[in-house]
Amino acid sequence: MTSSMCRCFCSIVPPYLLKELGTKSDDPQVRQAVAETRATDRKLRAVRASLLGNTLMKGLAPEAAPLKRRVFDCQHTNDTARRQVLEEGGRLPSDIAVKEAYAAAGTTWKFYHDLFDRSSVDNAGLTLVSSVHYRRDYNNAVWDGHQMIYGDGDGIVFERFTKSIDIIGHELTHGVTQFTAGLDYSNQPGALNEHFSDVFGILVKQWSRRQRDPSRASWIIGEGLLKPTIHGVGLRSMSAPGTAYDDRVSGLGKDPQPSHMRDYVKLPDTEDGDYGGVHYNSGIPNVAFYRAAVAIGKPAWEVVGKIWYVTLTQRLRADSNFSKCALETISVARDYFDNDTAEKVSAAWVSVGVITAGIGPMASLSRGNIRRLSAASKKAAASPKHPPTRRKRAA
Amino acid sequence: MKVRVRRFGGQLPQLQPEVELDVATLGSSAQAAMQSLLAEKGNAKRGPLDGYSYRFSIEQDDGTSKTVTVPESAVPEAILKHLP
Repeated sequence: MTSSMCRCFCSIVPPYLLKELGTKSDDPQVRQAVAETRATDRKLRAVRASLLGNTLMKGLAPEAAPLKRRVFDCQHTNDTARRQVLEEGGRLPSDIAVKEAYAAAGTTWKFYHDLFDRSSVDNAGLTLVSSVHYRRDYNNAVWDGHQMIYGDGDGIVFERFTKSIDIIGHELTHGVTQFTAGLDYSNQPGALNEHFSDVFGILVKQWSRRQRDPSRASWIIGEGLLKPTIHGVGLRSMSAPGTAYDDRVSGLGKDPQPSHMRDYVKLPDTEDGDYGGVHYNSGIPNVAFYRAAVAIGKPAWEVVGKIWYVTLTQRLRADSNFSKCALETISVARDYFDNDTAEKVSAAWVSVGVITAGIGPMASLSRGNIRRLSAASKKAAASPKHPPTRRKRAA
Repeated sequence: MKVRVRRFGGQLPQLQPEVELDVATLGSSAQAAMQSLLAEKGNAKRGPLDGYSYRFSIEQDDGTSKTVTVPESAVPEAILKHLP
């Protein structure tokens, strides 16, 4: 075997097999070839890592794929492909839900493309498919792993779900997370999954409305979804979790989101426990994001949004928890911006109790440090609150 | 035959509405779909994020109860139209 033949091994033979060959083969030529291959592989990995770092948010984007959208009308059934009513560049119909779903999908695609050079949710040009008028009186919007589905709302508590661009950005971001960090949908990783969807959902709205001052921008998720008769402003508040609504008459009750680790909601990892409270505890990192944005002061999509994007797409993995996320955002702020920015991100996480005070921008991300620095969040999560489950007519 | 159905999930997961269906009053296709659904063993896999799932509970003739939980996508249209 020659070394030139061996180069073919680079992308095919797994590293563990190369190691075996390199140490156990009786043939000195094989051992030498394997050694060269492993050295080349190490160099390629180093170059790849360097490229990823230097290109910041641009990443190694594929050839730019054009925006592609399709909209289906479910005609109040559960058939998401019942009737296609619009495709990219087609004539807009009079149906407001179709127009809203089409427009918001386009805005979300443009947001990711223009700011992060991302080609659709999968970074490979996936066609954004939306299905509207799903079932009757359906109070929900869903990313089903392949496409968006929207209900019209019941008209009593909820408006149609295409009305809120941040909800559309939220759901499409579940797709981005699916193709990047792949955060598990339970407990703290699940709450982070919801958090990142809220972050980029709200940024799509702020960016499209040119809300450049974070202290005056909208931080309400699901703004406009509640009917005017309901005492509330939306589904969640990122600046003040727990205050989005309080309406006993309709059966909604009070917004149950906590805003600090001392109020972390511990629920079972089951469907009736919201998989460990993923929609509850996302309030905690949401506030951290809001406070970091206000402290930094620039349009949220320009600095803090980019920090969160790099963290989601390059630093987190399926089982990442709050403290891992906190330390990675601090690290990204330091690596891509400056120490002052990292200090502000750190202070935001300290303010919600995810990390303890004194974690500066130079904090090491060693395993030991993560364990030590997340002591506060673990302690808080060990003495949780259990909110009562409601069974109300608003649904 | 009465079947209790409870919904989970969605944007506001603390809301878990419950309905009771009298299967005898449903159409024949819904009755057949319900029998098929209740014949499922255990719990189905998790549905989409932010999606709904439904738990069907029934008291059996021998006094025991049976519970089946499935994602919304696994509920036939004939039954789904009766659920919140």
